[in-house]
Amino acid sequence: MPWLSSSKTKPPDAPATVPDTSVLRSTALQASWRRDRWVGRRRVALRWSLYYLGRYGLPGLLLLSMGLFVWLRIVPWLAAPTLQPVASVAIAPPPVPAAAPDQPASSPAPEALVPASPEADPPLRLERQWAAVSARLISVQEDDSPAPPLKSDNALHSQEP
Amino acid sequence: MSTNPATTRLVPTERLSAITSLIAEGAEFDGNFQTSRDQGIKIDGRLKGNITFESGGTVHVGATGVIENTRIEADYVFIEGKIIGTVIARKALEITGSATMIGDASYDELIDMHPRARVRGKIEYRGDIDAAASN
Repeated sequence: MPWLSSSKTKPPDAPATVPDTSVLRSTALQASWRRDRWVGRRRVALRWSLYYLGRYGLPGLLLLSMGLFVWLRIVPWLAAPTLQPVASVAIAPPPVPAAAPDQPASSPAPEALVPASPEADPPLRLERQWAAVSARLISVQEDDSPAPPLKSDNALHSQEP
Repeated sequence: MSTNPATTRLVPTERLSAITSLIAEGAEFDGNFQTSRDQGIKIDGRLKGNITFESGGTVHVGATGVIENTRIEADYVFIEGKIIGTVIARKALEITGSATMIGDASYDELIDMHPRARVRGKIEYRGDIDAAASN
């Protein structure tokens, strides 16, 4: 068996270099400092960014959104959706109910809607009587006759010396 | 390539370079650490327990380090990670912007705290207030 014959391990030709304690310590410390520097910078940057985001970022975002809202309200055509021209749509006529068998065939046809004629709805015109009424009101307001003296109705005040 | 330790304002750089013990990132240590020598420890992993330096001592909590249920007592304490417990710095206490500290801290001489540090607890000056005011 080859593995039984090589049970004795041969000593290495050159002795392994054991690191010095001080070298090992300084190396470990330097690696630790390097890691501390990166972790510390990252954590401080995160804390500062959170601070500035809460102090300036969110109020700025709020102001920006409010300004955008007001601007869109002032200029409504920006917020209104663009109206597309409606294509000619073929509207199917409403279904004609089947004639009842007991109903006579000469039933009156449904009346079509007729737009009102301009003579039926005359345009607005100035009422001529309003001028006389307004002139009478103005004459009453311009009457500057002295008002009659007021009589005191309070009996308690009239009995005081 | 030599890398300098973290930029500090109060804790001397040579104190951070003289760290003798290290709990690496990803490692967990459950127990107390105590010594009477002026040494230092850096925690990059997770520690549950107390750290006591009877004299001198530097404690550096790395940015990835987390210490829970602790009472840390040393001359210099430099915090970049997270601490839940009590901290006593006999000389200087420095809390960086990446640090989170939940618990009370007390110091005898100097303190420096970054404005973005997260501290929930009481910070107490243990020195003589009247003597400090007269100076």
